[in-house]
Amino acid sequence: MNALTEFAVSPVLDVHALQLGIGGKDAQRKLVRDVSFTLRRGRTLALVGESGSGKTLTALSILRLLPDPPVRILDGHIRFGDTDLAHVTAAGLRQIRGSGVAMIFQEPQSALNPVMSIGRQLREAVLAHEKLDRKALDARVHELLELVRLPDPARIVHEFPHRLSGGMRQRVLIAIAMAGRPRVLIADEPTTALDVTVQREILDMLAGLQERFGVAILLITHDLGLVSDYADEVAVMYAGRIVERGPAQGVLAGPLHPYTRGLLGARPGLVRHGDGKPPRLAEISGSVPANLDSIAGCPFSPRCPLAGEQCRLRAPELLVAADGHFVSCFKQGLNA
Amino acid sequence: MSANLLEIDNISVVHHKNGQTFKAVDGVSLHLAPGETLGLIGESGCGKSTLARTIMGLYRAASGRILFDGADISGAKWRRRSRAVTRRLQMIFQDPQQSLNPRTPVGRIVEEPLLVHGVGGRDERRARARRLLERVGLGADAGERLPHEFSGGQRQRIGIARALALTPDLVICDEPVSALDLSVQAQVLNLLVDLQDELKLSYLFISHDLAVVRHMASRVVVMYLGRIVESGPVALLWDGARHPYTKALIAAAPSGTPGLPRREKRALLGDIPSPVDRPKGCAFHTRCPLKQKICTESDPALRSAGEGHAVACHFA
Repeated sequence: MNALTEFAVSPVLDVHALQLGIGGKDAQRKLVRDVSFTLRRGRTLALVGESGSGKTLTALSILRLLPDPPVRILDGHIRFGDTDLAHVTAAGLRQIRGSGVAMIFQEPQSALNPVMSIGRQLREAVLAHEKLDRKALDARVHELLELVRLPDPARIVHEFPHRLSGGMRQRVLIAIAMAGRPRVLIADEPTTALDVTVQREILDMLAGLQERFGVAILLITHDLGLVSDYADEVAVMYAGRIVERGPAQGVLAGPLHPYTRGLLGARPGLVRHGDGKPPRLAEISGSVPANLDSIAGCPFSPRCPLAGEQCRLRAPELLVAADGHFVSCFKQGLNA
Repeated sequence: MSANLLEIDNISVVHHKNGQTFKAVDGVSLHLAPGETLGLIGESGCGKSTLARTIMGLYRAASGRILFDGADISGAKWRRRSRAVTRRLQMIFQDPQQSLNPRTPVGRIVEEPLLVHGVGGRDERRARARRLLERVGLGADAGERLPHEFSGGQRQRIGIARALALTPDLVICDEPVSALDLSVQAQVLNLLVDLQDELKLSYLFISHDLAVVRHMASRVVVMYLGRIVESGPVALLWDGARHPYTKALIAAAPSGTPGLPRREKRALLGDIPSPVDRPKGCAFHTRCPLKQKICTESDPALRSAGEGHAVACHFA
């Protein structure tokens, strides 16, 4: 996609220079640094990273779902319309949760109330956003269940969560999320707990909802494979920072950051082999550092095959490298 | 005597759940040659982990036979199996967090199989544990530390060292990299390949991740609700899958390849039924795009579809 036409698609949510930290003044540690991205109407941005990269923290901070204390927004803006979610009051936040920005989680089991019927949980969600009489309410619940392609809505409303499969529970959660007609949907690893064939159905269904209602989706995932199939844009996070961001196809076809390149090279199953020894996979040596503040320079430098003196002294900024493609690396695009 | 290291003949395993009984594994046969990696794929409820645990002797088979290097081991749970067999048959678990005792130092965890089997003297055992930990890429001081001091990838290396302590011939890997991040997953897969080469190991490699199985295995068995629906050489299955379930699995795996359009949508309907209420006829008919009347009535047998390739479908 051309970056110029992409800018024309109206921005819905703008995260700018977000910083998250944990702990008091004396022992403060930064968890997320300088994260910026824009969600656009009808488009999907994938936020990709491994455990500890800060992708889920970033997502949770948008709806201020992080417990404060200990986790605090230290700096930055989260603009949604005229509101800055980073500084909004509790009442203002309630207005936006669900009807402006909605969220679905990884574990549908723990996000549903086990002792409440599906119908009651859906009615509650609808009533949080609009006043309807019983008949209109039931019709709306029915409509939501059909929206997420749950078979036999008349029966499902009487069921309890434990009677449904994981895939059906995730559909119920998506129906609840759609109840407020949100403009932004944050999906935090929505299919990680599900089987691949079910994952496919759920993501295809979400893509259908996006097409129909123009909702902007922030897809949090550790699975790069999903990016090319479902995202328009991708932001790769490592150690609390976005290290590369750009059009999904462009980043996957021409990754510039050594971490992104490493991740793409580490994926198995790309080379066919039959008999004999399987080919070696490219490795990223080491693991994510536990204490990020201990690293002065680029956070990836201890694991980076290209790291030089400069990389260990200071952290590179996220700079534009090509049309809409940003990378934070002094040695971008070089080969090891 | 057979040339196969492991031969499973028509095995069934019955589980009990909420007062109901059901066959978690239903008439499965497979074989594994020395030095080979056999991939076993399928989604939740397909019986792949039950099958692994039955081979290990953690569950008892209701019927059928398990031959390990020609000896019938199906009758006995692991406590009753001969030491000669248990030594040669080891397992790596999915979750290194839960399969390592949190209060036991790592060196002792790796040493324990040697202790159980009465291998060597104390110093010899400790030296061997140290060598194993080094071989799987952990530092010299790893042995004194506790599991929680290690990252997920390192813990899986500990699990691998423990499984290799008795120099087994067959290692059952049950989702060994599913809990790991991608960059760490590659390290562990490379280690498993190197160890196989070095120690002439056979792997039964279980995963729900097709890409991982495609990388590791030379032959693949696909299971659905307790039965094998298709099996064959990995390359053949990838390009010429015959069973609609195998096709759907391959199509559902994210392409991850830029430039390719989103893969054509296949029409798989709904979720996987519970193995407790296995659908009548072909168990896959509730989700199958090819379903006809016969599929709801009669269960297709696994039949040969060419060299080393077998499929269980009325229409494939």
